[in-house]
Amino acid sequence: MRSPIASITLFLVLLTGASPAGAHGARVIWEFRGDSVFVSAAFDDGMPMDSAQVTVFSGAAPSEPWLTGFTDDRGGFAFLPDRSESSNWDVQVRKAGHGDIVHLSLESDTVNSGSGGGLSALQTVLMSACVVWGFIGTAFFFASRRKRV
Amino acid sequence: MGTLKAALFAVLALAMIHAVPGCGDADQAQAGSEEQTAAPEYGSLQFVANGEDFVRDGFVSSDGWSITFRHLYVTISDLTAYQTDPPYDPHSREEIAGEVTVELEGVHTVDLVPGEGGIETALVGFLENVPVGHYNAMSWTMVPAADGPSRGYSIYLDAQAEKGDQSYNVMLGFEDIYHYLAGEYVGDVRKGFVEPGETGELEMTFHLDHLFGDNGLPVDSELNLMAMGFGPFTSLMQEGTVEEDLRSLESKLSQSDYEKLLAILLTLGHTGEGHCSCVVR
Repeated sequence: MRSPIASITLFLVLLTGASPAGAHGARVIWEFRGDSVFVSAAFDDGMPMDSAQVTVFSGAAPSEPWLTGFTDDRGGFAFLPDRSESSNWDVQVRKAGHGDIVHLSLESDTVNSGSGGGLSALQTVLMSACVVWGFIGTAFFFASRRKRV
Repeated sequence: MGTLKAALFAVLALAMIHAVPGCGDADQAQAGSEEQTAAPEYGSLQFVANGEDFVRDGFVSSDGWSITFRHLYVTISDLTAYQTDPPYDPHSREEIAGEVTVELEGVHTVDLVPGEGGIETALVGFLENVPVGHYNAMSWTMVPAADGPSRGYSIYLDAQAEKGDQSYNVMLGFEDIYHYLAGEYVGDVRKGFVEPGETGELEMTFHLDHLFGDNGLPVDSELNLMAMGFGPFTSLMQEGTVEEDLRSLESKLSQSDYEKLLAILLTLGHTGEGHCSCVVR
């Protein structure tokens, strides 16, 4: 069951970060769920990568699979990383000749996307605009309250 | 006055947003300089190109044509491997900023169809004495070959297409220059790790099923909807042979088929199953 945050984030990622060549790529995002990590994988057209092959790599031994499994029918996969082993993890998701690998730094963000979590310029601008708009709205709210007093 | 304060508050908030990543960058730079003080260790890195089973064994196109390749030449230059942190995301379409960068000099033409008893992948080049670490991004440019059987073309395929009692010699050359930006290899194993005294490997993978489709997938699969199949090329046949390049195809194919072909050609290059950013130069 994908969380609303993961779903919205994946939607925004797919919306603003279309496939490099405009085709059928795959995108993977992740988020914390308590101590666990939850991964969501979808094709560029938004279709979930259900029953996709998942391989988890620990930063302590990055070339050897730490865990393997398959996504659920909504492209989701959860696992509990051993934080004593490493704070850096990589999760690869593959299906039908398409795949993506995402880097997880457990000491940083709570929702990340893409091959390594990097955001495109458009995504950065969009997210920054949302945050600034929130600040402006808050500021005007308090300013209007002072006027009434 | 209240409006002025609100605007000032918003500007300060925006400045804070941009200041925080700046601190992070400084930390990374400091960490990088500390790493640089350690004595570097070295290994080797080889670059290979792979046409997958589609090219090695042939396949049936989305519209039922059996395609068998005699040769599939690709010509590669400016082949560069990077160690990036954070890992490069090809969806960003930005140039790769590597903390460690190594480049294979020269222009290299390889045939993705192995000879008798040949190995699955074609060796493009080999670099010795590269710093150890994980090369998790790469870039390359496909340029027209200066000589040899694929002269004038960055991609040149020599194949046989058969369906029922029809059989065509197919020679297609694509003369455009393609620049690829790729993240980490995605596949059965992770690639790009160079250990001291050992050899790591990076792979450029070419998906020819994108061009002709794959009869093994549903007709309405995304790949087959994107692919051309072989049908549009049959109208170009002359005495059992289809021999064309992009310049001639532009005038012979329908505009929609030609535009579809140009779009498909941007998607051929991968790193395993990982998609790349590609532009025509």
